[in-house]
Amino acid sequence: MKNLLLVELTRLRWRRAVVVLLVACLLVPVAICLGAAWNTRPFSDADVAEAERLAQFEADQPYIQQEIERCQENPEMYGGGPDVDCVEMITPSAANYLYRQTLDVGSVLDNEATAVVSLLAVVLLVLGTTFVGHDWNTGSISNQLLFEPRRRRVWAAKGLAVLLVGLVVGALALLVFWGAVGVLVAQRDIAVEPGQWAVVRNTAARGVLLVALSGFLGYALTMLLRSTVATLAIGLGVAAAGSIAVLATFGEGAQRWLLPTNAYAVLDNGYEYYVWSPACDVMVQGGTDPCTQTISLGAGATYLAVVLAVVVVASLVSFRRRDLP
Amino acid sequence: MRARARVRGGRMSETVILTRGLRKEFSGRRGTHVAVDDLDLAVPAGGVHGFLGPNGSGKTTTIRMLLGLAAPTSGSMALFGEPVPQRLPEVMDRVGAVVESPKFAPNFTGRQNLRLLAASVGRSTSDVDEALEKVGLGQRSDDRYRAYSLGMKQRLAIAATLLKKPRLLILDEPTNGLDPAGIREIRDLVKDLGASGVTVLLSSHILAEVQQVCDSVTIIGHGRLLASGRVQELVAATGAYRIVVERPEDATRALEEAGLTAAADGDALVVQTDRPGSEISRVLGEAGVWLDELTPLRADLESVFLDLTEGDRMGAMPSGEDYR
Repeated sequence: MKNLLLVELTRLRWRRAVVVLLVACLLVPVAICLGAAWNTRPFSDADVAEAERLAQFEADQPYIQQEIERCQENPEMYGGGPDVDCVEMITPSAANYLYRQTLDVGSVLDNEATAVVSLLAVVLLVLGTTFVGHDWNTGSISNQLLFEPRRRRVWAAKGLAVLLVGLVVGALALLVFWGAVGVLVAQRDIAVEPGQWAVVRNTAARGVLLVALSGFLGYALTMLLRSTVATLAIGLGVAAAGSIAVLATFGEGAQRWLLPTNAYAVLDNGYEYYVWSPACDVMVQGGTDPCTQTISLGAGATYLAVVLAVVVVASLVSFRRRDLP
Repeated sequence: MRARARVRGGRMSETVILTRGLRKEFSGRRGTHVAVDDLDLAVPAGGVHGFLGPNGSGKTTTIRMLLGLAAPTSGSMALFGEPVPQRLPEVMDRVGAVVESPKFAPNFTGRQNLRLLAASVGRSTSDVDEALEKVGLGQRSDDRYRAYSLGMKQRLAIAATLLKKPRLLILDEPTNGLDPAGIREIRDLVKDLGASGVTVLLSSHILAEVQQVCDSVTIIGHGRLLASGRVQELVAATGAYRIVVERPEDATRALEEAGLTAAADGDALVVQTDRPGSEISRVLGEAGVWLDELTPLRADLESVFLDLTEGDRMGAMPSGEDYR
């Protein structure tokens, strides 16, 4: 088994498509982190000077002076009392032209980190698929079985190789991402809520697992369907078209049974979604919101485990029993 | 029903491949197609054994079942006396096989492809080098597989089988698509392997190939066994002799007086008789006609095959005798 695992890891390493996808796995977090760093960059002196210029230009416009006079004549109309400072309230300031989000670990966790894990999961799905799809397309899978006829071992070795690569690459990619975020936070001297890094660590760990399992799922599906195209079509179908079709047919409540929402529940320690009912129109005094439903981490994990188990069993049984090309 | 594990009877110690009542059905939209039908196959140890049949006769399906790539519908099989596919892992390190066309990763080099296969059975890189040299691919082993000619691909496939230093080599149409030089190389390699003690099962639809290379042969058609035995026995004497004499008219008269039938065949005569050739010599000698030549006529494998298959279409034959 060890021999076979090493063979499959070597085969993975030698496949150019796999190498390209692995590089993409490292570029994705770097690119997203660079984007976040750019979008939340501190204001430079030039930014401040430009904002002050724009504010001054605006303040010099005649309608601003007219507006101030109207405010002073009738301050109630501007929502203030008789002692309101109309000049301060209406005159544009540089701050009005300096709008940019600041870097916030909680926000990164909810947005950029989720994007990183989602993209990594897609890349690993493609990696697991193309790795073994190539064996089927070229027919070399039967050649391999002429050397190792124990099909269960061959299946396991290939699957384990994909899983290991997924775990290592997922961990490395998320380490790079959060490492870079950590450097930014320290560099910009941004305050982080107590316990926030622990949440990050747990979410990242679940993200690594999701990324690795996505690759493994792609592998198992391709061993079942024996076609890269079929697996990718199903992946895309389930993730996009399937979700839209299910929601359109069964309504918002069907989110409970969608793969993406359950995956998100696992990643984000739960997922809340809104389901409208007549009760939503009634003001709720205390108690739980009848319109918001939650997929807990456990429920999401159970859902994913069942999906994975069904695919793995079908894939393994099919590979063991069906004739090879 | 799945194949039973145990193969009963037979000379297990001397028989490398044995099948009993082997059957394979394929179910499709158009119904059930029987590819192999109650096939009993016995390949003795040593030498080159031909597995002959027209395209679509079930040769490849039989081989695929023997190698565990396809499951039989019923019947039993054994390799080296071990029932397969149940004990295939125990015997597979003694079996090398090329099934249909060579199948390797096109973007890997020849050497990389072999290294992966070698590593899976614990063989070293020196074994890879040795196998590549043996099939004459040493110089091109670091080229990508997709850049190989068909002949080089076939040779790489044979090199892969040699990695295991097999005692049984199963080659399915190994000369398909090769040019005459390539065909000759592969045939010489097969002969050498057979002579070195490896049992070779050579599947082919090319009669001349089997007749030239093989010691024994099994002929199948429509998935059924038609004949099996040593090639020389299958193409045994037909009860006719070709003779060359100085005076054919006197010879014909003397033979007819002795109750034999003689017909002109160019400058020679063809004599039909169940009696030995010495009888012809005696009859002609007593008549004062002396023989210049007396040759027993044998059926070639093509005639035997066509008789057996009664019109089954053969695959493409190589033209003339150019591949000898």
